[in-house]
Amino acid sequence: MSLEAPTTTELSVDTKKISRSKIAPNLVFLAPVVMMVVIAVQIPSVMTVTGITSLLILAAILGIASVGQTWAIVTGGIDLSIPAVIGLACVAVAKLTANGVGFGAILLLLLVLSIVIGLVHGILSSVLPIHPLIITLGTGSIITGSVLWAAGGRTGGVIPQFITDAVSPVASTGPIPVPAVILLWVVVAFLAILLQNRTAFGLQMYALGANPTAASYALVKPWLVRSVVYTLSAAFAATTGVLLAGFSGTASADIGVPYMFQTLTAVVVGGTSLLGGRGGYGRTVVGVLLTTQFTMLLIGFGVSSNLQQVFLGLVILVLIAIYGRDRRIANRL
Amino acid sequence: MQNASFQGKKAVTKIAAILAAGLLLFTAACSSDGGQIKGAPGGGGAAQYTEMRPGDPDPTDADLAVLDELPGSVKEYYNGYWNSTRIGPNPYAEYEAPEGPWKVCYADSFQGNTWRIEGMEVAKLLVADLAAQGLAEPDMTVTNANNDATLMANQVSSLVQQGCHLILAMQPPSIGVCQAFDKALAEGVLTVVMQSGTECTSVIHSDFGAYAAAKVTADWLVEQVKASGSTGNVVMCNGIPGVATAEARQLAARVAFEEAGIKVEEITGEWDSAVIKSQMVNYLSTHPGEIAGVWDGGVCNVPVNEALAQGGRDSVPVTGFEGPCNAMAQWAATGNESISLSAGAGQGVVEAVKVGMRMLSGQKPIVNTLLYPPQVIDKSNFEEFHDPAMTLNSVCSTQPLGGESVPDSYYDDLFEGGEDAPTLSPVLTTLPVE
Repeated sequence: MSLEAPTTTELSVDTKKISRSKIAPNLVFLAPVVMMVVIAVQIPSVMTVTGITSLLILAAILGIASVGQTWAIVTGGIDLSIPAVIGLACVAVAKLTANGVGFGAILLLLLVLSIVIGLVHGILSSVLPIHPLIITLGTGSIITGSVLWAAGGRTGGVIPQFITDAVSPVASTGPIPVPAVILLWVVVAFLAILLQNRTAFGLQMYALGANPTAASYALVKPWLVRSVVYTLSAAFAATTGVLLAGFSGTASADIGVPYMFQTLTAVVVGGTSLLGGRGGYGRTVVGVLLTTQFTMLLIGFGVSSNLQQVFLGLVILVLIAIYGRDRRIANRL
Repeated sequence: MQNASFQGKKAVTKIAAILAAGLLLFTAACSSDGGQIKGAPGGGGAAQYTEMRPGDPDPTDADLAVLDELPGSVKEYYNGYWNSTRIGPNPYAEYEAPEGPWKVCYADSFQGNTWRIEGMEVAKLLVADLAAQGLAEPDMTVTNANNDATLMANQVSSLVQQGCHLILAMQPPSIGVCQAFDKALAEGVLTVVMQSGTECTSVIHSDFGAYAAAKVTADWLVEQVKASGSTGNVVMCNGIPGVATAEARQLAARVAFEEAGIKVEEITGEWDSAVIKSQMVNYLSTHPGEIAGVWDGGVCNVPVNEALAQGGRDSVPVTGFEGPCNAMAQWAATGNESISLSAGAGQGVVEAVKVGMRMLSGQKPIVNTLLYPPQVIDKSNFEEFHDPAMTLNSVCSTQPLGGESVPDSYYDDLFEGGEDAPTLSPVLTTLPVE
């Protein structure tokens, strides 16, 4: 063991290493800007108000759906019930509106259902030695089956016009010439990042995901943290379902199916570790923007849907390889 | 080190065992040989059937030979059939129809949307009508496989054991249930597969000709584009890649546009309104050029029109496909002429039951697959299919009053022998509006 003080040169090298190790993982935050430049050069037509608004609407819907997935993964779990909850909310808003129920009452009902779903996920995954993957897959199946049973398979109804307007590229929010869904995403993203980075609950999420045993010694209650995370996940999935009803103009119990893959892709592309304890919603915002931009770019190039899947898969593999070079993340991948 | 080597060998053995088991399961799943099973009264087996080749524009000699042998009255509706179904001899050539009252059963691969529920409810009404005539048991057993091929196979086997005489199978997967159908045939149970083609050679298929139907809507769009003088592209809004009926529709449209010299761009909507709209929004953002029209491969009409309007584009001719009620509402609201097909599940069930009744009356179909033309909805008959109560949020499918796509006499040239089939009362007495 050397007791000699480091030389100036050694200090300089260490400082450079530390700087590099801090900068490299954060380069991902520049990626959407670079991608936008690529799009602007290759497909200039996108750089119109309608083009950019359209892109942001698609990103906003996915971004809101991905909040819960991010936090479920940060805590070492995963939420496979998101598509089912999206379908539940989509059908609920259409059927209940058709039956004269007010939108406020519908939101309240969806909030109560989200709490029930979150508690079931949180408690079962903490009490039983079963991974949330199995639990959320099971509850997802129960939710979809229950929706179809309750609706008798007839999922149609009435979708309030203001929801359709909220996701229209040509709509405004009061005096602000931006569709409501984009503003909603901005607010959600701000609050989500604040919650995960600046509150005790946020620290508890990371502690639970990094090491559940150590977290319990630090007086973190796993069932409570997971219940809150999965409740919020269900609430954001329900919000997505309501928005998708307006976006598509129709209600369907399986409208959320694509969001299983898309939310996971956004989380992984952003660089959140699938093993928990690292990453966060800020990175998912980047993942959402990148995947949405990339899909638009591929459509712009006339790439078929099958090849779109291939390219998206390749991007995930490349990013995983890049993230794997960062030791702190590699240790968690 | 030795321990590691032992564990490595153990892992390799495990992987080999899993692969072998997988291969066995795969072989078993693909080994359906239809009419060749022992004791089955089928014809010459799968070898005499044409192949199903989705997306193939070129017919084989065998395909053409089958077309040549079909009656002239139905031939045009079988155009391009090899894309979505197989044609061969009647597997029920030696079938002896049981005495009534018949037990009718309904095996659905999925019941998660309004289209499926409409089909099942029409089947129940038809069975009730037959029961009133003393020809069927009043209760119809219904199964729902929730898109699980293995579960559907088990359910079909269970229906056979329950003594069903006629199984109406709604859109089973193209493979995976064939062995269960083989067993049904061996037990003398009649199975009519509705609204889809399959690889199975032990069932009767009842469906509209997807290729021929899609050609009708594509030809209409060609006329519209030519009349407008537009030099823009036609956008094809496709269904789920790899699904036979989607590929058949798309091929028919592609051929029609190519023959007309119209350039085509394609998006994949996967028959999902949200996916269609996001794909179209992306397409419009990245393709500022003129669009001459949009061809609908299923469910696309309303989301495409919404995307066009919200993207600040001029309205262009947009076809429809399965006559969704929301598209009818939009047509009425905007006055923009379109074309669509009446292809609801209910009328599909009506056609399948007509086929089943003929066979239960001793008549023999000349082929295993009975294709018919769906009714075309255009400006001349729009009001027959439109109800003012239909809205942009409606999820029903238009169906003709009475429920028949074709008159019963359409099948006269496709059947031989037997007695007259019972007459079915009209069950679709009002237009759907949900």
